[in-house]
Amino acid sequence: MVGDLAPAGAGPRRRRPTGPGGVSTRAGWFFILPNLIGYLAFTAVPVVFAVGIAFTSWNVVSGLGGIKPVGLDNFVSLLTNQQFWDAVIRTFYYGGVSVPLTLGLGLLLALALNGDVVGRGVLRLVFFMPTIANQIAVGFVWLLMLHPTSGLVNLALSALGWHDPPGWLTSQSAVIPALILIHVWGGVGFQALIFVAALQSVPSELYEAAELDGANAWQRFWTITVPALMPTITFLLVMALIGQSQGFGLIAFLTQGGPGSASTTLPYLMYQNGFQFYKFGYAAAIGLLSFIGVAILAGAVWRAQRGRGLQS
Amino acid sequence: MSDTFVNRRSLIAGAGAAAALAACSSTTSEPGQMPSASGPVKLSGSINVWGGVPPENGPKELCDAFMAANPGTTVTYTRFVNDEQGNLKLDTSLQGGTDIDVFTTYSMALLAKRIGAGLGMDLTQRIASVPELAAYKADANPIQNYVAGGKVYGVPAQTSPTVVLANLDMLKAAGITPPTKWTFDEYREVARKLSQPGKVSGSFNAPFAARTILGPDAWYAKDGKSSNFTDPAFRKELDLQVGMQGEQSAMDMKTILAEKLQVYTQGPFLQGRVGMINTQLFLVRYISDLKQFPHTFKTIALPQPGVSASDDGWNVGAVGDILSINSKTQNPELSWALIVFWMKNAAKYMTKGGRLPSLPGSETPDSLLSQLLGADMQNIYDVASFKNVLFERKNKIIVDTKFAAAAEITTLNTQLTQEVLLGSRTPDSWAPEMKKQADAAISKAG
Amino acid sequence: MSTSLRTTSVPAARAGDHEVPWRTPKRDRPAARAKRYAFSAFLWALGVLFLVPFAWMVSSSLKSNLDVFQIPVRWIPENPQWQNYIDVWTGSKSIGRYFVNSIIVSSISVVGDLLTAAMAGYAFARLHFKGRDKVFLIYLATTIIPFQLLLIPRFMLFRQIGIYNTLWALILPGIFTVFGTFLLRQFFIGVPPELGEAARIDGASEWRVFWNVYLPQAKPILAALAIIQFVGSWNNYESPLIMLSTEARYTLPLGLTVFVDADGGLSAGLAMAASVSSILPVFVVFLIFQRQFVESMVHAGLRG
Repeated sequence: MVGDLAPAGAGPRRRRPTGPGGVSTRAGWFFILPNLIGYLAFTAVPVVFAVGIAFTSWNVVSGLGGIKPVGLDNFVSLLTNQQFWDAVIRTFYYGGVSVPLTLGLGLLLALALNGDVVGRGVLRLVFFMPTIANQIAVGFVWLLMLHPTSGLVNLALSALGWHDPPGWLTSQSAVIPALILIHVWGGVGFQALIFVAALQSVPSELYEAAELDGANAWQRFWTITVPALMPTITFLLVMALIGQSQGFGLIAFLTQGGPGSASTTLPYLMYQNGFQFYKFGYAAAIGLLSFIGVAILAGAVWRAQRGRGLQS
Repeated sequence: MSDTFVNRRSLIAGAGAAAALAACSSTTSEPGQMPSASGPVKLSGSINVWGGVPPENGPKELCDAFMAANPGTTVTYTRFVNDEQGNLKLDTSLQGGTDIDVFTTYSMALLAKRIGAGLGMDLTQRIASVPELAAYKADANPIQNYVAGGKVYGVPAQTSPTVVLANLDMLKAAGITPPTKWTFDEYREVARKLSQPGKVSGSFNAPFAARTILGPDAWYAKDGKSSNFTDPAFRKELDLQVGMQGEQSAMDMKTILAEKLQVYTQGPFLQGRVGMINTQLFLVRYISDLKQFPHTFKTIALPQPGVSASDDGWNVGAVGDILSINSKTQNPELSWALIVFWMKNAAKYMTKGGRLPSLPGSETPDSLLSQLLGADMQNIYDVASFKNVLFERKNKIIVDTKFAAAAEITTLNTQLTQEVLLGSRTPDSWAPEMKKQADAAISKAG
Repeated sequence: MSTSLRTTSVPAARAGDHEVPWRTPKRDRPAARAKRYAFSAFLWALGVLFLVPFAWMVSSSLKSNLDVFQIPVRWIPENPQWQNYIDVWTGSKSIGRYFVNSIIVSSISVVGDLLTAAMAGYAFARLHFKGRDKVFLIYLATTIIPFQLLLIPRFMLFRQIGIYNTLWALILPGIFTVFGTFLLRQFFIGVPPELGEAARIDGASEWRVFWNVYLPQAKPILAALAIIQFVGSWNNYESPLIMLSTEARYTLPLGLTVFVDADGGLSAGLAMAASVSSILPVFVVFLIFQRQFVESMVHAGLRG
């Protein structure tokens, strides 16, 4: 192993040439290597392939020999296709609501679950449960719960006085809100879990010092908690953005992009073109465009959080 | 239109056994024949067969019988789930060189794709050399197989006509004599009589008028380069669907979507919420299962409604369980022997799984019926009606030949029809929009 | 909530813990106690709502296939089909071996992932080397490519290197993830660099600094990561679907498809019984790692 020559306590030893921060550059690469190599092998290579396919026309069945390069045709075709843009808008709608909603609720939940609550351990499990269930089961359950007349959700809404509750999965206007609901249910516990772990790593002296200085709870939250959680928030936000651009399993099971095409988001459009129509090149092109979109958004998030962390 | 979902179901239904089996007849112990061999060849080796039917529904027995009839051979059956991903897995395995010798395709369109990619072996000569398979030759009349460039690449092991299954008790209670022949409007009339608004819809779905009228390649113009959706037959079907939904003689789209009934079709009929259903035969498996789906009414089989009093039109069912040989196989002789065995013995092993065999083999209609409908059939079914509809009538089953952009057009159809039935699109705009988008898809498919 | 933030958000080994002079902890004063119970009750009510779908799952697992979709929904089945569970475990389609496969895949992946992600995350956060941030961004960028597009290329790659149709095809990608690295990196960024300095000055090697100083700080995050990765691996459907063709090697989610028959019809009661059974190990994993949180707080000594 790099740098493990002298046993601890042997006194100052000669340091190898280092970069800023006084740590061996070789150590850095050593630590990364296992993860990096494995990742390159099993993910990076397929990624490069998938990106390349976006510039071809390929129906998979015909094997590698059937790959026909078509340059930018797929992209031109996509960008001039009304279906593509409709899917983009739907994706923004779906993601634009569910990502911040899940994040915000997740943070609130974490604060609650980190606090003084009876049966806190079990409660954490309870909220995390939705993440554990497999997709088929989740799909079925929600299918029944969202039934327009006999589903629990609408029964509850009617009881609360809402006389014509939405048709959820049977309604073109309510299908995306239904998906948002299911998404939040399934994701909030997960985000809360990560937030809880992060909250516990915030040094208590900071809070004590602030309280001694006269800061109230609200101020403590904004000047200590939020900045301390910045790396975590960034992480969850970026991961959620990525997830939004990829998740199609629920849609494939529940609505197949319908009713009509009301729930055909970009990931589902990609799945349809790749796995149903066997137009893998076209699907890869959609994927590449998604990638560009998410990369821009993620970059913006990254930029925005710089300088707002605790250390700065 | 609505035929898409029931068709797909039946295609899925047909899927299981095809890969594994081409039946060799078990009465003669002839091994597979080489097209030009002067005598039988001893079979040996092992092959892998892929199919969508779970092994315990027929394939396992069939393979075991084949192995018993041909000692020294090994047949391994692998089941794949016959959905999009499962089929993609089969496709990638085929061209990725996984050891697959015989595979099953459950949709003509998919077969066209696979053959177009060179995944299947040319079976023209072999089929021509087996007298029992004459109906599937490249030049048979009528065509019952997928033909490409004058060659054939597979044999369908299942025949799956569309029939109307009806609740006999409901018919009797409404004073209706089960018809032996009817038109679309007469069907609608019966459905109306059976309906009790709020409780029962006379029919689950409207008849599949368009394809009954137009027959094979209904979606495509004669030259195959554009689509055919402006044909009045399509409008007729759409009007039937909208009309029947409106008067509640057919189940409404909202309910179908809410309960995923396009996939779980058996519920409403068995729960007594609908009186009739246009369907292929896979439904029989659920009807016969009184333990899982208890019900007391008898089920009667009625023919598809026809175009007019004198014209029955086409049967919108399908041929399925198409067995093909992987062009990369190491053992074509054994593979072909299996396919022939499967074809000749499907009647014996696969029928009880709910699949009507293409070749009756040595089975009589009565024996096929009792396998199809189960031991308890006298209690559950009006058996004579099934005999009539399946064996005594001449059903002209549609066999398509054009498949350009088929998957996209299917999706388009589903989307636009749903929009019309949910009220967000006018029936008048259906045809122009279908034509526009279908034409675009076809031209892009090249 | 203001009291809760202060008294409980503290992990154990922080340099400079100090004693708090004795007085009745805020939370035991009467007004605060009432607030505490009210708030807990509210959270519990919410929690129960969250669990409703699971109640349905359990209820359905005890119904016959037709009844599962009976509308309106009956919560307590009138004829509980305990047989479903027996069938699912011992019947012709026993899920026992799928269980075993899933456990193998998920455990190895998780252990491997924790190790490689901690190392790499630490390096990206606390070590300085040329091109560090650039490499990380590229790393991150590749995850944005939708995973479904990777299934086919991966399939072809795995066939080439001979791990197709083996459990390794599932385990290996699970060991080397960006998610874990990203998470650990973000965590280690929040850990003060001074911690390591003291040890380095004493002559400890980089590995020691990592293993003995920084890694213990990460216990809660590692526990969270373990849970998440385990669940992800446990429920993964697409990868085993494409990578495994022998039924005996199937993992659970794929194994559930044996309850889907050739027509796409689902033996819903059986499938639900299998689904309920499949949740149990995840439960166990969660409970084990959940304790990590509690323990680290016990060590803090400041248990509110």
